[in-house]
Amino acid sequence: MEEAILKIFAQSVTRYFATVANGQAVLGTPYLSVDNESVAFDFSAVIGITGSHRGNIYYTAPREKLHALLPLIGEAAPDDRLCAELVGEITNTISGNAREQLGAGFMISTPFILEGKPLSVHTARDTTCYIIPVSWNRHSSRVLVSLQQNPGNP
Amino acid sequence: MKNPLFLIAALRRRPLLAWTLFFYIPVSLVAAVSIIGAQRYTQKLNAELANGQHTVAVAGCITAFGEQISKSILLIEKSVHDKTSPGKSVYELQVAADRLDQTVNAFNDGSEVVAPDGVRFMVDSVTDEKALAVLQEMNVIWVGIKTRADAVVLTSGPKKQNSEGIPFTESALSEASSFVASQQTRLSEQALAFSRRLEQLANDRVKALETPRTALIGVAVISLLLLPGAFFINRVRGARNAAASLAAELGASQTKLEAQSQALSIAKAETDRIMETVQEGLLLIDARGIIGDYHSRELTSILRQEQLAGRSLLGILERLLSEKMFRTTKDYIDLLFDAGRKEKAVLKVNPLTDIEVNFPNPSGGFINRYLGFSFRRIVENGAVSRVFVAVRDITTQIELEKKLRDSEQHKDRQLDILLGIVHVAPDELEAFITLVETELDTINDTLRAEHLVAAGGQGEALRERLQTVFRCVHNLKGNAAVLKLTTFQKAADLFETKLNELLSRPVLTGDDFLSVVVAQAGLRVDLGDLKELRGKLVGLRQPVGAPDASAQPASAIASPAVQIGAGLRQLVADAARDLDKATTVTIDEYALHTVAVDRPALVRDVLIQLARNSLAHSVEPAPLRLAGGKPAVATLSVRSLPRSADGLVGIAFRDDGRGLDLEAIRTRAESAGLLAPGSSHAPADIARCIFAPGFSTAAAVGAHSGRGMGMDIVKSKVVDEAGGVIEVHSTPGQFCEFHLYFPSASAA
Repeated sequence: MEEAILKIFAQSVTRYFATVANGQAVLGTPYLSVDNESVAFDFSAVIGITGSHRGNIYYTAPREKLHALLPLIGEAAPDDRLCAELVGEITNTISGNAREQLGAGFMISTPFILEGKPLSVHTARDTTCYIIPVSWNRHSSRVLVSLQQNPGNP
Repeated sequence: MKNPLFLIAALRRRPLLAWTLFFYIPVSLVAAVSIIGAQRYTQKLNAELANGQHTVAVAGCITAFGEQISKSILLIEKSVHDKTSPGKSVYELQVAADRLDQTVNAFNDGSEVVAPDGVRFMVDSVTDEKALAVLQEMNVIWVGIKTRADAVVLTSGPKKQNSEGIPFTESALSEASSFVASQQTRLSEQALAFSRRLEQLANDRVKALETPRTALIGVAVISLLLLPGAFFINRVRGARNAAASLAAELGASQTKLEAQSQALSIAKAETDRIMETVQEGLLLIDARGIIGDYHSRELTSILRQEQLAGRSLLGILERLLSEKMFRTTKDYIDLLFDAGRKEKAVLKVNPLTDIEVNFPNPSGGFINRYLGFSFRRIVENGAVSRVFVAVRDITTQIELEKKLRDSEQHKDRQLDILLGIVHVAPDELEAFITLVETELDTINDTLRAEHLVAAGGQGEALRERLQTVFRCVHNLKGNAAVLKLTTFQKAADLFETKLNELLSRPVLTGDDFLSVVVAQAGLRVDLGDLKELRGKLVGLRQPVGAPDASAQPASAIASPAVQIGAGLRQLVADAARDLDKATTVTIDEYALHTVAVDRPALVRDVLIQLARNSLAHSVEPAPLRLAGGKPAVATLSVRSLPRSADGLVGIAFRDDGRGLDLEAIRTRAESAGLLAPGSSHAPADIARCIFAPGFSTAAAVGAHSGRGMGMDIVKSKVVDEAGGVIEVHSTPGQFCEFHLYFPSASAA
């Protein structure tokens, strides 16, 4: 996968926190998911990608981080339902930003929410899963990008 | 003369002419003749009737005249008796007698008489026997009466000139009166009988005329009726024939239609069956892109939608295609309906031969498919009325093509790797794979350390990570060079270029490492290919007859020292050739074995970097060596060192090159911030700078130098990882020697 595409997701997630949470998110050094290690936090959302690319985009965050973030977007009483909705929204936002930059051919599905730490990351066949750690207010979260460019879409 | 058969045939073709010639005209003539005949008979009949009536009327006058005569005689008798004038009685008697006489004579001889209505007419003499008998009887009676009447007239009336009238006496009158009175009755009876007979005769004559007249009238009527009747019948028959003809034609047409309908039904059934079973989506669209009423069943499967007839194909595709592709499709369909464009040219630029579509998945996400569209115009009256569209789901084909393409690329890549590893001994390859795995895992583990991010620790920590990654990649590259694995060498070299660029940045952030992780992923793909090939090579090598490794004698298995020595010699030979520096290597195999027996990877990695460093920086080109009084061929040597006081095992690596250029090192170290500029530095401090990460005195980056990571790796391996010691000995222009001491792994 091209570095430029990873950069789009990295920038999208930092822009989200800068805009919504009014604070700068710090990206850690990205690494690869190997040996199907568990990289999930309490709440995860996955969006399927098709069109010019094929694969999945995950965003996963711990409950504490989401509880800290929810009041900033007007939810004074965070609960699990709101946490699930928030990870879905974040995933949708960063995927939407990517779509804006990669064109309408980069088609995104609706988010699918997963709760619980054990998470088997479903990556598209023959794709590598890149993990981008995101730290905001000392809270960790991760963006997982597993994409492959479609042969018919240069 | 024309053939009569020809005329018959012509008349058969023209029935109206035939009817006119052979029926209407003859019948019309018959009717005309009949009418004329009937008219004449009617005239005769009327004349006969009038004659009969007059005759009977005249005959009836006989009685009247007789009565007048009787009456007149009685009046005269009375006048005589009364001695009065007879007045008009004599005259009336005379007139009546004359008239009666004329009448009787007319019947006897035939003559003109005056009827009571004043009409004069000819009375034929009576010829009928019965009437003649009655007439003769009347003649007799009349003669008696006439005699008396004439006598009375002569005696009672004015004397006629030259008459010899004898006046009647009263008695004579009385006798005449009685006689006349008596005869009068008889005359009346006979006159009545005569009249009846005449009437009967007249009736007979009329009847005789009525029969032919009636017949003629009948003929005329029949003829006149026949003409319209025949005409009507002909018309009816004509109409009936026409109707029958039409019915026959209709029947034939109906039969034909039924046959055609049946053929159509069969054709439609076949078409329907085809449309039901064909494995392609077949449809027609009009200029607005509307799908026609009939399409193949497969179309609903391909487009995953029902009720497609009457819907817009573009509307359906709009939801499946990307915006750009949809616009292209719309333009192309407009082009298809542009009759001004040549179909062949239009079909050539079909953008929908293999397009990717994405169907919404009810369970979330998309269902990705590839469809192939082909088009054909349907031209009517010079305009493209509709376009035939065939759609196929070519997902399997595209995926197979992709697999094939991937497989080809994979094979090409593997072939490159294969060509590089065929000469590598299996255990060396295994060692290299292990090394690459280790280095890549080290890289990933280094990058994974998220606690630094959470703690906000960036800056130097990220730089240290980058240097760690650099060391791994450089070491990997050096080992690849030993084995001549150019694929890995090139990949690692590119990786190093990225790392070098990042190291030159004053500030590092997490997303700067995106290129690092992508490069790492690339190396992992190469590693995967190498491992796959290793498995295949094992399979290939064994059948050749090579005995199993476990069955080989110990002497046949290359020891780590032998492998390291061989690899080092190969590396030096390649690098010397590349750098055009003739160099030879002398290795104390025993010494190498002593140190490499339990730290083969460390010894190998360190010697690789030292040899590359010597060739790049210390060994001079042959002309310089000769000018300096040295042999043209430089010598690299590996020998043992006695254990150190701390019990560390030692090995020495020496080159007879120019040695350390302390001035150049100092200048570079000062510019890199490793040494304070302008200060005096001990040679040892200057020399130590060569172990700094990224430090290099090379003017440019090359395949064998310039990254500044070689000596860093040596230090890292010997000092940081193994807990050893490095001593550097150098005499400028003479040599450079590294003494490496490290604890035995077994002892550690």
